[in-house]
Amino acid sequence: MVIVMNDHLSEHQIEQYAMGKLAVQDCGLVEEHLLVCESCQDVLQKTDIFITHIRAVGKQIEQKPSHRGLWNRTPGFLGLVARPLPAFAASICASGLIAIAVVPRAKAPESEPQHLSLVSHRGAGIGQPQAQANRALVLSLDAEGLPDSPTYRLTIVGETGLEKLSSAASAGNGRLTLNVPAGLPGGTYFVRVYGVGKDLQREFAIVVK
Amino acid sequence: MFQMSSIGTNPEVLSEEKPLAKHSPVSAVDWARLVAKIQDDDPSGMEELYRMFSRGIRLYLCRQLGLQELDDKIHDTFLIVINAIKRGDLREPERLMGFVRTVVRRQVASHIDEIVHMRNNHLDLQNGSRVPDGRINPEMQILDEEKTTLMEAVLSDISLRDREILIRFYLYEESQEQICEEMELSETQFRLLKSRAKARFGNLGRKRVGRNNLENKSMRSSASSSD
Repeated sequence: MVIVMNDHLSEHQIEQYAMGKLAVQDCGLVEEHLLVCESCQDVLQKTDIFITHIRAVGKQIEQKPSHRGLWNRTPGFLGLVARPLPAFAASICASGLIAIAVVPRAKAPESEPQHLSLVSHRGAGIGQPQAQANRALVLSLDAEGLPDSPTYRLTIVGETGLEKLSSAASAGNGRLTLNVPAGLPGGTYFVRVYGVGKDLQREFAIVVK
Repeated sequence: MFQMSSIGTNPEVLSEEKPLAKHSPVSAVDWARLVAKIQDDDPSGMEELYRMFSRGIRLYLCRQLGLQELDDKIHDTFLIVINAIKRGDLREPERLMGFVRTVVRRQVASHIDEIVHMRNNHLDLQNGSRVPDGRINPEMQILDEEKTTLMEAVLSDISLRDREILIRFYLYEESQEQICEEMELSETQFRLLKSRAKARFGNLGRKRVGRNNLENKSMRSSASSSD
């Protein structure tokens, strides 16, 4: 991604930054620009608001039984089953095929590990990440700005500080990955990142429901 | 099978990769002059530095740490930057933006570190854990609910397929490439859809604010006529 300091950032760049998806090497220039450019600050604020609310409303839609795990997780023609009745009726001639195809797709998200991206944002922009209880988890942690280390020790502790899991990981693309195959029971947990020494470098909170 | 009319290809609406304006204020700043002024204890230099960076620092700290003690943190940041400039720690004035960014990031890191250590070292004598009240104030809650209603209006206005695209991208954070491949979309169609959804959200918000202003005005006028 090319960032020219004397130009404004594009909406795409700002959106990538807001979602924590910007490459580490671009992050510095974008943040420097955002420190002084009011026009781009306005766009970032609007983008934050948009993302926060589309996530909130999207979650509500997803939680509706008629929608859960179907239309928004099924690519291609399978999305038809969640369409309004006329569209569904028009395609009912292929119902046998759809029934066979949909059942495994609808159940797939439950058995697939849940991917959760943890970024070092705190405050109003992004809410506390939530995970589903007792479901396999793949946590992707923001490692940008951490002191260089060949490996990092990652631990998950509960609210009382009791260690639930410990693992080692090395950073790739500015992120650390932690697999939790058995998932976690409901509660609030803290994912901690330690460097070479025993000093705690970073901590992320997740809520499991 | 799917109608793509909702995602047109009008190049005029393809605003995503277009820069937002021609030039940012960065190009017009004489960093060496600004740094020299601060080193000379010239109040106008400090004023200029504050005017230039205060909003950006506020936004950055607010996104990272929230609103708590925000003004104090901004003040601390400026003190660190100004003292460092006066000490001559900033050797290349044109790197001032990067320097300020580093200071702000260190402020954030040290604040998080402080919170973590406090949580580790302080034992709550009461039974059970103490959880901060995460609720926002009533005024903000109303604004928040209003924005959620606007977003519902935006999402109900578009086709299920378009909605699916937005939710896969923003909620499930699936990559643009994956969505485009699975839903047979071009990059242009994808970006245009996002652009339009944002524009619609913004327009509805403006309309709502406009209507509220009109309602307020009519209430005031009816109140004055009843006097």
